[in-house]
Amino acid sequence: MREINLMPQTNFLVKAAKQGDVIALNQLIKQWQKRIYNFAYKYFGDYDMAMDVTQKTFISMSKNLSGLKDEGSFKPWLYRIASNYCHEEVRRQNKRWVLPFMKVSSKDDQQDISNSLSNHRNENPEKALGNQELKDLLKKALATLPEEQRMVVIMKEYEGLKIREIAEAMEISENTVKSRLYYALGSLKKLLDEWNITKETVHYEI
Amino acid sequence: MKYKPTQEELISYLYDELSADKIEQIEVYLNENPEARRDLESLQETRMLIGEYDDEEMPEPMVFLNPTKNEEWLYWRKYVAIAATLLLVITFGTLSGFKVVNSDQGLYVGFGETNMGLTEEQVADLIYQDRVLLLDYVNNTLDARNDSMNYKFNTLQASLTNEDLVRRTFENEKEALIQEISTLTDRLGENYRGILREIVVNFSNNIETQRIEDLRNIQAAFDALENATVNRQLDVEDALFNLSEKVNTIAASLSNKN
Repeated sequence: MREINLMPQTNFLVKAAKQGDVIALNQLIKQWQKRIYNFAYKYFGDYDMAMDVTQKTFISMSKNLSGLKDEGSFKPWLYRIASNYCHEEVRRQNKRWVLPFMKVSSKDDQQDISNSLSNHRNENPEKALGNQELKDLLKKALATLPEEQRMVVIMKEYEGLKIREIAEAMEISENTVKSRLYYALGSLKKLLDEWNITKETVHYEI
Repeated sequence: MKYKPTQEELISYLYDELSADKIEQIEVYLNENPEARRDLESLQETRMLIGEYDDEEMPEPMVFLNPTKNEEWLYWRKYVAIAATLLLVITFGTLSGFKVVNSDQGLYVGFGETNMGLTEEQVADLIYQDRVLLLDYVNNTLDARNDSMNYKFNTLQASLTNEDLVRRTFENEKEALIQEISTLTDRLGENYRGILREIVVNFSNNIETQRIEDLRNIQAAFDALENATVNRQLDVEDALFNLSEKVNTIAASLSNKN
């Protein structure tokens, strides 16, 4: 559905950067920083943490790029670094704080969701969900998924990795990736149905 | 046995990551099982819905990693500088034919064709010859000076002993001096007379003007005296007239009383 172009010059840049070309390295960072940031942002739903992971990922990348054997596997390799930092961040946060997205199942939020949906439709039936509202709801929906499912969904749906690449990035089997995707999609479907977000409600926005 | 795709195969189909023959197999199965198709389609719809979650813009782009570049350049820079300097020196050395030769006879440094220098003995010889030449020249010059001075001294002495010459010179000198004094006196005399004449003329002129002025003063005084006298005379006449009148009046009044 959403296919991210694997930039054609990525392999070339990786090769140059591996040999110590600083311009190529900066170019790589420029190309990939938005992707990694969005990956981490969807995972945490938090700007600071996403930024933190992005910084760390690219620092680690520039340090360890010379150890990358095959330029073709740069993408999964990069996402592996990013996902490791995501896990590390979660562990650190768990030690001291409640994650922001944990609050999603609270009654207030449920109330908000139903309010926003019903109000809108009552007042203006022709106007469906606003973009920002939909975004917020999807953010919350993602946050309800268990960590490992959430990561697989983000890599597949938003980052456009192949199933093989996800397996490589997360160091799990392809079948595990597939079953995680299956259960994740099932849970999301259930949740969206519950919130009454369907093809019809977002129809006008598409 | 009837084919039934696994969960994993369905997911691969959903994401279009299957081989062509597998896809065909699954499509056959889905056509036969509308329920399974519906399930798959609802998953597809879910994918479409969550696909609405757009990318966020990065609030601030990453700071690029430049330091490594700088460090590397700093490290190599000094070597590059040294290499460039050496290259420059070599190039100009070659162009100008700069040579350094170290042989038994010593160290030679030079541009272009290097001429071997003189040996120590040759140099010593050169210096000696030069010194002899200089000494000769100095001696000759000194001798010549001495001779000429002696000659002049002798002539001077000879002329001093000749009495006649001395006297003549003395007379000449005396006459010239007298001449000078007399001209000086003459010039002084002429001047003196001229000045005297001028003084006398000036004096007589002064006397003349003073006399005329005195005369004028006297004339004025006389005029003033004359005027005063006339006035006095008139006053007296007036007074006499008044008096006679008064006398007449008194005489008339006296005669009337009588």
